[in-house]
Amino acid sequence: MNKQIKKILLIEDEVVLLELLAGKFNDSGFAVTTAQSAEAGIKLALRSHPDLILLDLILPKMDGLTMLKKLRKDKWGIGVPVIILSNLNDQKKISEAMKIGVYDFLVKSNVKLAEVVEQVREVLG
Amino acid sequence: MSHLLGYLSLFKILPEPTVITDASLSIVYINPALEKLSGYKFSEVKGKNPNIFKSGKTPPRVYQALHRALIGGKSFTTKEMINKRKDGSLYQINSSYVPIKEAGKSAFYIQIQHDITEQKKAETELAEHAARLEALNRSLKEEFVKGEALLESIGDGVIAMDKKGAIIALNKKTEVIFGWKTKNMLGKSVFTEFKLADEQGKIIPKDMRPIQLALTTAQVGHGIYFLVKKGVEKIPLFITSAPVILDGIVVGAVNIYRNVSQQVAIDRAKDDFLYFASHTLRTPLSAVAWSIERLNEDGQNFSVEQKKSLNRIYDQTQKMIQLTNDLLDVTRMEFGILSYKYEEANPLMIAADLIADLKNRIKDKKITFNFTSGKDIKTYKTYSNAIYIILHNLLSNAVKFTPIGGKVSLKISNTEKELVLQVSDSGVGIPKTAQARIFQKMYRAHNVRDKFEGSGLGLYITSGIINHMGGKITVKSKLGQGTTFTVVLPFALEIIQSRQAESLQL
Repeated sequence: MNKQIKKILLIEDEVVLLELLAGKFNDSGFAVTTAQSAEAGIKLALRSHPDLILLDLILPKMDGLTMLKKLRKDKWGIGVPVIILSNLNDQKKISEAMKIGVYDFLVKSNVKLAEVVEQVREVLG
Repeated sequence: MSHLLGYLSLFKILPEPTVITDASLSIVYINPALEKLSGYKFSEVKGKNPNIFKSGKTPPRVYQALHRALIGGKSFTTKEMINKRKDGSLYQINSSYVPIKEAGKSAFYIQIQHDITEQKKAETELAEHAARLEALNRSLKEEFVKGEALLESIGDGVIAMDKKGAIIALNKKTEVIFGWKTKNMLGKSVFTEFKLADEQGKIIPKDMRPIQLALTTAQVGHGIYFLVKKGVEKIPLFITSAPVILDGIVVGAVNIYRNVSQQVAIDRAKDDFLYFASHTLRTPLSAVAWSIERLNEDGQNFSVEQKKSLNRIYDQTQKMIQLTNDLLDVTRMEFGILSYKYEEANPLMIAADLIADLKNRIKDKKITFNFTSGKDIKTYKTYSNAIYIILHNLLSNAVKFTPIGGKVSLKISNTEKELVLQVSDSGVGIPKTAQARIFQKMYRAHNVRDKFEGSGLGLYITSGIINHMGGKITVKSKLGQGTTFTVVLPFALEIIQSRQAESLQL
């Protein structure tokens, strides 16, 4: 089971950031799928059941927290680890996210890509 | 006298007080009713003149008229004569005088009295009561005028309503806010005359409106609601709804409506700015920083010169990120919305987290780091992220301003009522003249201005937060030898008003 390649889903609307994240995770040995909107993200999540989701908060139309709430209503979605990766580190948003249930809340500008990978590995054991 | 005596038994049981005198006005009889009224026994007044009952308060003309009538052998009736009891107290009577003739001459006079003391007292009371009512009515009218003036002078809309929500009174400002005319609104229900919505525009049901809380639970309700005008326009109102309670029963309520459009607009501008700084500014910075990180992963492909350039770009990007972060913290603090997280926290755990975050920088500079703590540092309810920011700023300054191979130490202790944080370094020190100014916004001492990166915001934010928490910060420093900052934070915290906390209440 440990040897199995872990699947992660990146939900991020900024193409530059998405490419950087995807590149880094691919290089680090993960199977990466990506979505640029919450709507596409949740569809993909419920279909492919990734091992972990990296979720941005500010997304076109539906925002990250709304998507998270929807995800948590699903039988599978209730348990999947989610890490918020956003530059909007308002305490209100952090508390709200923590209440819905996320593993961690990372601020993009304050973490290195390597640290994001490290955090994901820690969650997936 | 002879035939009169036959009547004595009748007088005896007559409820009207009665006195009989002879022609020379000597009392020959008083009945038990008069004994009772006057307090005199018959034996005490027998043979005396009836003026023994005079109080002196009855006008003399009454007696003169009586005298004339009696001399003329006529009956006479007096009204409201005031007599005196044995004990000196007064009573009022109406009385009828009847002369009894024997052999054509008045031989006896019978006076039958009607005690009107109670009646007069009642009349007086009635008059007094009427006067009081009149005065009350006058003062009520005055109060009403005053109340009306007060109501009109209030800058907020005020509606008074009965317990069903029917409008009793409203002021000019209410007319302005709602676009009403008072005369059209009296008696109408506040529930049907206007709609309230939440921020998203969802109509608030009747049971959830603040007035319902006031009317049903007798509590004061308040909050920000949006008045829906003409179906589209939304006006933010801060509504306070207070019950009017009479003898423990809610008889109505008074609502106060404050138009908070301006405050809401300001709050929105603040939010927009914070959104811009945190998201819009930091997103491209993240992209640059991450791109360089990726480039550096293939470090061997670059020349020394190229690597140097890459590091320079990376450092400058980090500097920009730090400036943006400081700008965010400073703005949040100055807006009073620095998000304080009030929770059970242990300062030692916060410090441990922080030290882990700074581990690499401490290692890079070969700094000897020393962490000591008191034995009984307990978990308590506090603003955990505020403590984190304070320690973060002080420790990262200490690391920054301490040369390679220097020493930095953190000591956490407590007194009975306070938490004490002490950060010491063997760094460049702060010139004496600068020590008083280092907590000012964007101030940077001349000995670090050119050699070290910084915004001059860190200590400003730190001291601002410490002030918010009711604590204090002091500094001891010797140029070239090092600096010690001591922060004292009371365990019992003043509640920090952040907008988040308020909006949770609303």
